[in-house]
Amino acid sequence: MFRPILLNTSIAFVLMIGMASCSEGSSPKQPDPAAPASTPVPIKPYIHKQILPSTPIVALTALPITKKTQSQKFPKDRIVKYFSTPSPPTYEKLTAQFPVTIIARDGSEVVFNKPPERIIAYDAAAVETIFAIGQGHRIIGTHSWVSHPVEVEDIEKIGDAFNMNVERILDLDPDLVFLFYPTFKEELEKAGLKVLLLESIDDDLMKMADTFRTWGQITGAVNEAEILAKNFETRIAEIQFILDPYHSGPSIFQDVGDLWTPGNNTLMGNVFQLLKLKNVAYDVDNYGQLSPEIIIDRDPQIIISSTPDLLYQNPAFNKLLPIKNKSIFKSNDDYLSISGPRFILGLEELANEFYPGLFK
Amino acid sequence: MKSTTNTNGQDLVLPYKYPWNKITIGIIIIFICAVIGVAVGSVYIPVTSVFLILFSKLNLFNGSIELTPAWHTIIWNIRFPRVVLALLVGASLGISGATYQGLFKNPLADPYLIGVASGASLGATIVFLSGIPFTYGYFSLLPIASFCGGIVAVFIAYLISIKSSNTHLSTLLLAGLAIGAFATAITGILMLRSDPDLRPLLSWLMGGFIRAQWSHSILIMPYMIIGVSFILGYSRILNTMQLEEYYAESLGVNTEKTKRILIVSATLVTAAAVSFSGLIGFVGLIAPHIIRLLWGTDYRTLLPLSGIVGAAFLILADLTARTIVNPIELPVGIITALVGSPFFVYVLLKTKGSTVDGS
Amino acid sequence: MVLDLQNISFKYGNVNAIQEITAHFNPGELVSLVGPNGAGKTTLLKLISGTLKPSSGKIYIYDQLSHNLTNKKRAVWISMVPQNPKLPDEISIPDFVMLGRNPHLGLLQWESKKDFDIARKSMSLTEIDYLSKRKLGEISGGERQRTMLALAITQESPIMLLDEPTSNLDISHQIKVIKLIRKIHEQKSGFGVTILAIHDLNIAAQFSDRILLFSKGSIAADGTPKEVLTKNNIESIYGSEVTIITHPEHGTPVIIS
Repeated sequence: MFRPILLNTSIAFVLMIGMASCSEGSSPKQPDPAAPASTPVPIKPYIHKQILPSTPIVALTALPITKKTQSQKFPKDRIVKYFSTPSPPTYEKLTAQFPVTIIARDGSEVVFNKPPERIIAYDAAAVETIFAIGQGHRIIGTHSWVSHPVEVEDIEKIGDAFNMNVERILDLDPDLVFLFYPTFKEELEKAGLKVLLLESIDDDLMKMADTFRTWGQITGAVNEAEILAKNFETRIAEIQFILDPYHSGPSIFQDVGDLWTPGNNTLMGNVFQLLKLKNVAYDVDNYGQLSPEIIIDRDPQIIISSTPDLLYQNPAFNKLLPIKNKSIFKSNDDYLSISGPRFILGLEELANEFYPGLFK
Repeated sequence: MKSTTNTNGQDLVLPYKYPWNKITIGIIIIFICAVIGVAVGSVYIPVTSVFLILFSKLNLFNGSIELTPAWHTIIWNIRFPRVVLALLVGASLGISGATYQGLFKNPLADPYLIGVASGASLGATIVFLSGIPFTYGYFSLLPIASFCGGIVAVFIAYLISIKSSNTHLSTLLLAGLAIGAFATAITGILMLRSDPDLRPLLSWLMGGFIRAQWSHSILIMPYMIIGVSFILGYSRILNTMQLEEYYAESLGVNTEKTKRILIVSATLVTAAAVSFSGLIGFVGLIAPHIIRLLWGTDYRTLLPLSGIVGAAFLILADLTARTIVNPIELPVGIITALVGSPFFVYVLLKTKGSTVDGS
Repeated sequence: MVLDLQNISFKYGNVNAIQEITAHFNPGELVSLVGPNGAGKTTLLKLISGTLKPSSGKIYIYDQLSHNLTNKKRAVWISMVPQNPKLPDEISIPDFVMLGRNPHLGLLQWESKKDFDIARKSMSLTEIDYLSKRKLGEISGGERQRTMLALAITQESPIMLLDEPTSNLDISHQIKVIKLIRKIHEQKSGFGVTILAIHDLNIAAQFSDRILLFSKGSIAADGTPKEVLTKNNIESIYGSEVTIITHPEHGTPVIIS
């Protein structure tokens, strides 16, 4: 029969061509094994605005961008530790006030006369925040992509992030449905449910603290929320303070899959600005698939990617520093993709990764 | 041998001449498109430097060139392999599109529209997800898996269309649509059930050349060469296949065998195209129709020239996709669809009421 | 023997379209198949041309079992002009006529000068030279019939089958086409067999050497026009009263009602 013959011939053909061209130099190159990852890489020195007496500048000028052998791990319980410490003395104890009016992202006002008892929080960040301020018992439903904290396992999942079983929601009779995108808002409101829509923060990092406080106002846990927000703000300020003396750090390219990358007006773009990393996609609006030519031309000194192998395998990129050094940073998607209480951990992880020794 | 000319002294039947001159012009056009494709990109590189790099690679120029290594990489490892892959894929889609159209006597058949490409991408997805390492140096499972998926899809579409009475044209399209949607759904399910680190697969399914490498062109070339040789070999028979099947058989054509060989060849070529560039629609529709409008329906002319038009079109479409919104890239499928859908409507309106629904 | 049908039957589903027909065709014969609609004329032509396979019985073409022949071999011996086929509109007339050379060409072989000359000759024989710039979608019914005839001539086969070549034509075109068929037949100088299915008994009587009268899938009468087209035969098969007179010039029977 014709088909198998054709197939076999082609395979033979492929193998033949393959064999024939293997000896040529154009095969996809693995990084040269003779240049081990630990080889120090010459880095352009960074210009300092001023010298901070308490800062070990020497360490900074010799910033090794290679991946450290002992990467600094955050203790798992760190966030818990933060909440259990007594409130910093810098602010007065707050009291919850009801009724409270929350202005949704679309400008509409949602009034709460008392804390909602049966919340369906259709957003990972919201769930984490509510748990972080100790109000997790109010959540009766969420979507199946939410996996943190562990208590979420026992909470009912009503569909995945982009599909919702509205009937089941009505059945659960919640007194608040929280959404991060508007698709189901109208339908749920028509069914007589109270809906709060706050779209995920995608531009300004600092809005995150406000969102924490908003949840405090809604649930009445204003003090816990204030601690969480202040903690976030303090840690951001700390990073800002330490980096303040420096003009700019290394250039960075984040690959979120097939060269899709965040531009400046995104949350990640914001993070890079805070960390004084020069985003090579500075002229990209929101997210975009960056041209490989541009990446090579702008020569990023740091690459973050969740699929580093695809970049390592592409011969076009093998002259880029992080690829030569096999030092693509595989980020913890879980932290930085959810604008909740753990976001700061991801941020600090990046800071420690790219400025080793600077943040103690 | 009387009266070989009519009263005007004109030849009544001109002997068929292979369109060597058109092919030559076509190849020159492809060459020009390719040069533009290599010379233009989101990073500006002076044309002289582009040529210096190319000549030094071809050993035509031995002087030392003082160029930044970045430019060298951009030209030799990004633009050039990309243009070559677009050329091969465009030619494949043009030729296989023309073949499907001739075979199914359906001016709207296109590897994308009749579900072949979706089937092929399902095959490729299975390989992606199975975790089998799908490339062993210069051997890849992808084209083979794509081929298996594509051939299953096209045979099902074809069986449906011959099972259901006489309105072949719409049935084939609808069957292809259904099978394409089905294959896409299965692909979707497979992806949902796997871990989320497969975002590259999603963008592969969108189609494009952003990941083009030299090895991809080398990998698909044998499949293309074999498939295209068979198709071109059968190009004269394909003319006969334009008649109703029994009429073609009375002219000595083994229609069953011809159909089998051509479907397999066209699917092989499509699968090769799909396996590294994903789903790119409308090239297989546009290219043959342009040739038909210009030079008629002889498949000996139509097939090679469709390949040429497809190649040139896809090189330019990719060039547009990667430069129009600098510094980001658009999926090339967006560009081909922008050009292709109005064209599709035009063809649909033009063929309506004549050959489409028959007499 | 050119063509030999032995006991062939054919069923469409459960309907017997052809029942145990036995017939022999000799070189030089122009044979008309006549009979009421649905009597099996077209089916018999399809069986001979190989489009349909007989349910039982054997067809021999030049003493070879038709069943064992390749399409190609059969096409060298038999050409066929189907009734009202769906033709692709955008093919040009010369390209269409050239398709008749297909049985004589190998897979990778293209038409030579000789093949073009043959096609040219058949186009001038059927007087369609003036159509050489036109496409199939742009011609009239009579022109279409002559174009298909030209294709069949280009095939250069000794046996030619025609299915209702005069249907859908007005009277002047009918006569023109049928005369053309007779002319083509005579050009084969005695070795060709032409078989046409035709419903017009007077045309059949005037132009055929032999007539097969069909009734319900079998042959009711076989012989010269005079032998077959008798008042008795026609009245019993067509079921209407007719008068038969003799053509003053040709001496053939003419049926009037």
